[in-house]
Amino acid sequence: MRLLSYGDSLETGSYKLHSTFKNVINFTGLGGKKDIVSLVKTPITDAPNHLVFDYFASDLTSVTSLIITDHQFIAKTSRTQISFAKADCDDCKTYVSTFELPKNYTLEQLEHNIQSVKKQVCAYSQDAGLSFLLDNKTKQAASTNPFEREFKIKVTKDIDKFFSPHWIQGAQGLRGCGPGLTPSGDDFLLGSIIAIILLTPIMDSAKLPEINVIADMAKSDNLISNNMFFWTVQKKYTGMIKQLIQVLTDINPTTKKLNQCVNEVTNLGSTSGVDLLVGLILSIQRRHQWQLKQ
Amino acid sequence: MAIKAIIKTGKYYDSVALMIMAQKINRLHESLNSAVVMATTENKSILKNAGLYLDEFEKTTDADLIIVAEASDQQIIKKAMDKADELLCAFDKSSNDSVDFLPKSLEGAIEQMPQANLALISVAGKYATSEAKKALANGLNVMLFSDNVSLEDEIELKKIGAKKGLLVMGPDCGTAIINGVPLAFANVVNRGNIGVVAASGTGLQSVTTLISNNGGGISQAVGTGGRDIKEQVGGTTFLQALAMLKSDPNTEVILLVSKPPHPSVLDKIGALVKTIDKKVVALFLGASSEQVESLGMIAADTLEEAAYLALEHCGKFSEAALCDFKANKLAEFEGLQQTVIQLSRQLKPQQKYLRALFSGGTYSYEAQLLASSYLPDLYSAAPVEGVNKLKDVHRSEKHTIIDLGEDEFTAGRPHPMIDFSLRNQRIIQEAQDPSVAVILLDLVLGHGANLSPLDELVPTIEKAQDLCKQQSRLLPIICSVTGTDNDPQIKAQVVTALTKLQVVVAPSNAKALKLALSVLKGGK
Repeated sequence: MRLLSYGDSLETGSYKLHSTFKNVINFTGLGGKKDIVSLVKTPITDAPNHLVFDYFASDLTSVTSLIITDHQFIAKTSRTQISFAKADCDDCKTYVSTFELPKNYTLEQLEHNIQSVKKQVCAYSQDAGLSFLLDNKTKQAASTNPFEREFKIKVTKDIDKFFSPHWIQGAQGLRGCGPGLTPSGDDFLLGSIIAIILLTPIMDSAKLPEINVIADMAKSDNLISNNMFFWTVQKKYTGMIKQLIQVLTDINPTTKKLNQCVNEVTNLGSTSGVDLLVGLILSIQRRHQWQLKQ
Repeated sequence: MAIKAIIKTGKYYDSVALMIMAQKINRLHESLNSAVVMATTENKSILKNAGLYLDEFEKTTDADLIIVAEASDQQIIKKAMDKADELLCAFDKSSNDSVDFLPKSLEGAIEQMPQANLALISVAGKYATSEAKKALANGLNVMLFSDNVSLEDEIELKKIGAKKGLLVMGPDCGTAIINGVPLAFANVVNRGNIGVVAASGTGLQSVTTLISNNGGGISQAVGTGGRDIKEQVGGTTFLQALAMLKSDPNTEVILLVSKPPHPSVLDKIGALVKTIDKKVVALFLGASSEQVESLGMIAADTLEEAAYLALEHCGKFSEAALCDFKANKLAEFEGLQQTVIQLSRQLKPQQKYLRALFSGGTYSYEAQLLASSYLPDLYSAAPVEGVNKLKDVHRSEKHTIIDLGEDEFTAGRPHPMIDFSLRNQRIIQEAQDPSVAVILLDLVLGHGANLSPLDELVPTIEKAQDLCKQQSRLLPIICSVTGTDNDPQIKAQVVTALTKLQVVVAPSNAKALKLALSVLKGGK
């Protein structure tokens, strides 16, 4: 297997297996460390804590533990161990997860771009995840499944609370709410954090919720959710989110580029990408409500 | 109401798996309400409100998975929980397997597999050209499975491809075997030193399987699409593929299969063949042998003969082995001929006609060519020269040969190699006609074809036989089976099952037709 790149925020230490998926193997730190390091195969993109291997790294799923030192990565299977020395990785590069926001984008432009994102989500993901919140008709449509029905009622109520001066209670209610490995509410809050990061330089930040507080409210025993909040609050992004931010802050992104980027995000999980985009869209469109008195 | 749950601790399933699980469980019964969620405090409160909460959820944490189902009776709940267990096992297995990520665009596919050099395109015809152009722009050879691509677009695509040194196989190219990988409708054949270029899908499947089943192997098998050899397209892909096989060190014999190319294309093929220092066998179905031989090729008259001629020249067999091979084939055919002669003697005087119901277009074409000189009252939906056109394609007349893969039959339904329903109906229809003496069928196996052909064909044959029995008639059925034992359907098993039903299984389409003619002639 070929290591293509590694994230810029991988901490040295020993890691044990946490969870195995088709293209992602998650490891968690030993000795009480709760951070996650992931071995992934393309097309899963870079992230601050990802080691990205080529698509044909079929033996990746047999890795049971991982050691990261200053100079190398050691992947251990039950029978063998494979070392990747950072210095020897000719083609392999460090993925830089930070991203400086452009200085010249405006609120109008962001609103314009987010409108296009909304259109794309409504057109192609109208029945997925929280996308019903973007459309009044589907929002009112009743669900026959009792869990779905109660979920819709709760999530709508918590989102209304989130877009109010009582946003902390709203965030608490959304945390861990809904289907999915990273529940829909978590993905929504992640999208909202990204929106607040985008809004901060172009409006009065005092009128916006604090992203650290949202992330604290959202913390749970779900290490995968915690991990995505942790990195995003530090403004360290996955390759996919970096691209999304780039497109949203572009003065005039082409429709093709924007749609391509949105489609990639919507492909994330079953509904995770859609839920994240719904959080992002609504947070930009309903930003004024964070200041309304109830 | 009954309610039951499964709690999974320390196991993680991706969101897509969880969604699939929820959908599949809910579809089991209309009274079933279920939820598949992580056991977060918020989800547990939703479960309470939804009436799906159990006390055992109290101890669960955010990282646990809850699968809960409620239904009107215990039986349904049990079914739901069994289904959940089965799905969890399947997901556990698939997370350990290297299951392909399915890209949703050509760009995504290229990103996933940057070293790929071929794109197989199967989208609606109106989008196919632009996708093929994209693939060519990215340096990919193209296999265009899509049909309904205009002739102008085909010519343009092939010009772009030729300029870049890339193949455009198709449009309407149903089969190819590239570097041992069967693409679309194709069979699992041995690798070897015979390279095939074919403007005929069934033709390519037929010769590659016959070669493989008789000890030879395939280096490359390139499909070109049926229109490639027409004057307007000029044989672009056919010539490119032939040139590639010319310089391919793993190809020692080249086999060409198509309907007769336009004379201008045939001239170009002939000119290229003259520069090739390898044996070239050609089956241009219906073309004169003299013309083919004058261009430096070894001429064959049938698909079977073409395959055997390629085998004969591949250098793998000694002269003695070839003699034995031919003798065995002859003996095998004579044995089958005796069987059908016995059957023909039991026919009633009014049983006079052949009804050939094909799923492979080339087989229908080949059968018409072979039968037309023997059967003046021959009809077809797509007749070759000298054959009459059916007034109504859904109703046979006298001797009839039809290809159920023709557009008249496939509108709105899958190809008859996949969906047997239309042919099954037709078999029954023919069985009810007291003037029918023999039914001739083809059965094409391999990737893309119906994976359980016997499940559908056996009951139909049994029903047809019963119908005839009720009228004290015998109805011989002859079938050729295209495939290998390495195909997903396993040819040997299919042949055994058909033989048990008293179906005469012929080694090739040409032989099947000859056996059918023997039935009609009563062994004369």
